[in-house]
Amino acid sequence: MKKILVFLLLAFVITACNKKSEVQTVDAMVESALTHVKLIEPEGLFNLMNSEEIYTLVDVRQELEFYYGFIPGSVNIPRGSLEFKIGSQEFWDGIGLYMPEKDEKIVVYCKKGQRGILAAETLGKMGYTNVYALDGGWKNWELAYPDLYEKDLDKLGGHSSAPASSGGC
Amino acid sequence: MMKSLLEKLTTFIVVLVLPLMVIYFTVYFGLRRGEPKEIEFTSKATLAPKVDHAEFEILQQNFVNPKDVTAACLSCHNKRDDELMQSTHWRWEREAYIPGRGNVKIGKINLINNFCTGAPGNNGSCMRCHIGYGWEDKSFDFEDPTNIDCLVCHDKTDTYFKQKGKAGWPATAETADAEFAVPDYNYVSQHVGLPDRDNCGVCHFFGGGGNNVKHGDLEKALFHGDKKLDVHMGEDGSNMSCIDCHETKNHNIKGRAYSVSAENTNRIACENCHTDSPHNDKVIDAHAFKVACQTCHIPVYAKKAATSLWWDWSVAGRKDEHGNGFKEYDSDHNYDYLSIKGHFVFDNMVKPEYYWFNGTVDHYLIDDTISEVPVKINTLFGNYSDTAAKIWPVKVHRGRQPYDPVNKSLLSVKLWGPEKGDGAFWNDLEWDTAIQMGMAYWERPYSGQYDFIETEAFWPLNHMVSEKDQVLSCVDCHDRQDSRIASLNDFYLPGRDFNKGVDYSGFALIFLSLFGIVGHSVLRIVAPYKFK
Repeated sequence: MKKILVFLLLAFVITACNKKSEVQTVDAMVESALTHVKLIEPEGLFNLMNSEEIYTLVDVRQELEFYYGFIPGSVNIPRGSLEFKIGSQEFWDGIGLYMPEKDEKIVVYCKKGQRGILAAETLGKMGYTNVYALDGGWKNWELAYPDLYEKDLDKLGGHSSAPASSGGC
Repeated sequence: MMKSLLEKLTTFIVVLVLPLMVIYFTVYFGLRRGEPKEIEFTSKATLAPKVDHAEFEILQQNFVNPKDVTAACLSCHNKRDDELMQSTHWRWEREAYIPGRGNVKIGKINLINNFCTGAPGNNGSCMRCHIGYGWEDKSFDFEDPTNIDCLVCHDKTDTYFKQKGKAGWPATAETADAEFAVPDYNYVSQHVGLPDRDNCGVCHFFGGGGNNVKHGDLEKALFHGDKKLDVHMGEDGSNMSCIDCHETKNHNIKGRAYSVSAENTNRIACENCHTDSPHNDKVIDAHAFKVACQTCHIPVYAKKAATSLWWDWSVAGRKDEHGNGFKEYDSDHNYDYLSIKGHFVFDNMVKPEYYWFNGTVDHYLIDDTISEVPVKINTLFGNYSDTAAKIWPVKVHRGRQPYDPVNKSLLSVKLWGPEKGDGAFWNDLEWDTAIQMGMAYWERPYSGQYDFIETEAFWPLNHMVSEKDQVLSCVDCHDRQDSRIASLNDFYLPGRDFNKGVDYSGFALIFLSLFGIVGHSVLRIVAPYKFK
């Protein structure tokens, strides 16, 4: 009886020590992803855009974020559908672009960087071996190259709109 | 017997009591380490006035002109006009000593900025935030005390406003519209007191032409913010008003804006309340020798509304297919293009940039010649070897603005005017005329040629102080990969920087210490046998 009690106590202590928290904060998830996701600075992306290297630039923001301003040459694949579209021949045919190969350079970005890092991690899990996340995302790009941007106002029904009270003096 | 008892007592104390005391005091002081000292205060703006102004007969007259209200105020508060007319809030300039320049007069009245380029010449719009009535042009009389607008700072009813485009005048029966009614002067003048955040914020939260455009750490959310927004002003926390820190005596308001002042005088500091050792932790307190409190305690700014980080005037003036100006917005509904102002990049929750700063500032003065690009609208002095300098968090506002490529000088532009066809850029979207008018008002030379040049302005941050669990931690700076102060590389920062000589010397010391301990232990074990 005494041995059984000691065994149970030991088993309890060991399992208690090994129990890991299953709930993660988004900051912890991003930090964990950063241990294997590679970052690229805006200057690096700019140089890539001006090189001969083949690359795919993916904006993982929602459509209504994308249309208001994006890096030239970006393909918008919201993060929620990234896994389904990145390897879909039908999707790439639909936008008239070649589907990226698994070893081809892919740069993903979001508004400020965190979604892009998680998206890059997802692509890594799917076997894409040459994936980079844009450090600081679209906002970092805007400040580094404020003249290099595009908008898709047609998708927004002409000029973009905002509350009438904004606009300064 | 006695000796034995003494030995037992000594053994008891050494073996049990002393270790327990060490453990107790270690835990006791450890738990309290890092707990900041509490500060007690009473918010001045919420204090009830010492008198009931409604009882004064002179305030019961039927005011039509606000200057009559000022005359009534001064009939009791005599000599206050003399104090106020010496202030920067009234003059919009002060004399200051700038190293390398000597004594110069600087202020909004003669400085160029990289927002709307400058106030003079755009009086109808900009001088709405002057504490006077009717600074429409150079004829404004700064010596006439009835030009002082007492109510804009002392109104406690939140019903008194200056009208847009009227150079500081409130609405009249002729100009009143849906946005601005004629103030009820009797009601307002009978309900006055010390300024609260509404009085200050109506101008200071909207600098640069809109909410939070200019400062980044001053915006309308502070009217009714919470502790997360600003630990001092949060209504669920200390609920402090502006004048609790910006102490005022004889209308001299402490706490100059670092970006538009040159000298390190008449300023306020966190230490005024918190002392220079507020952390109850010597290591953290020691950081204050080289690190401003704001650096750790303002980890991000523009916590609610976005602030302008890039303003490019070079693309202003575009027209749509109907020949009209237009606006475009970013996905957060901040404008990112206005025909009247150009292209913007706005952002919120922004990490500051960090610079050495000793409290003194140089400025681009209107007679300066451009010698570097980007042009520095202001320059924060300081470096590591400067004993007065500390690391400060700074908002840097960058952009492009018009300059004269022949005279190599930044240009002043007539932006605001009352109606279309008057030459003001915001009415007619024509640069050349607007620049000619702007430079003529400032009485400065213009070659007739203009282009656009990159500029940057530095705004040290002081507001939007975070709660203690949100401040920077050690690894935010002492990190080899991603240090916040990576750009400040004129000194050796442990954890961020490394030197093989230092590193290997450290390892050698550790190994030598270990070797000494092990050697000493061995000797202690071996020695008794050897000498038996």
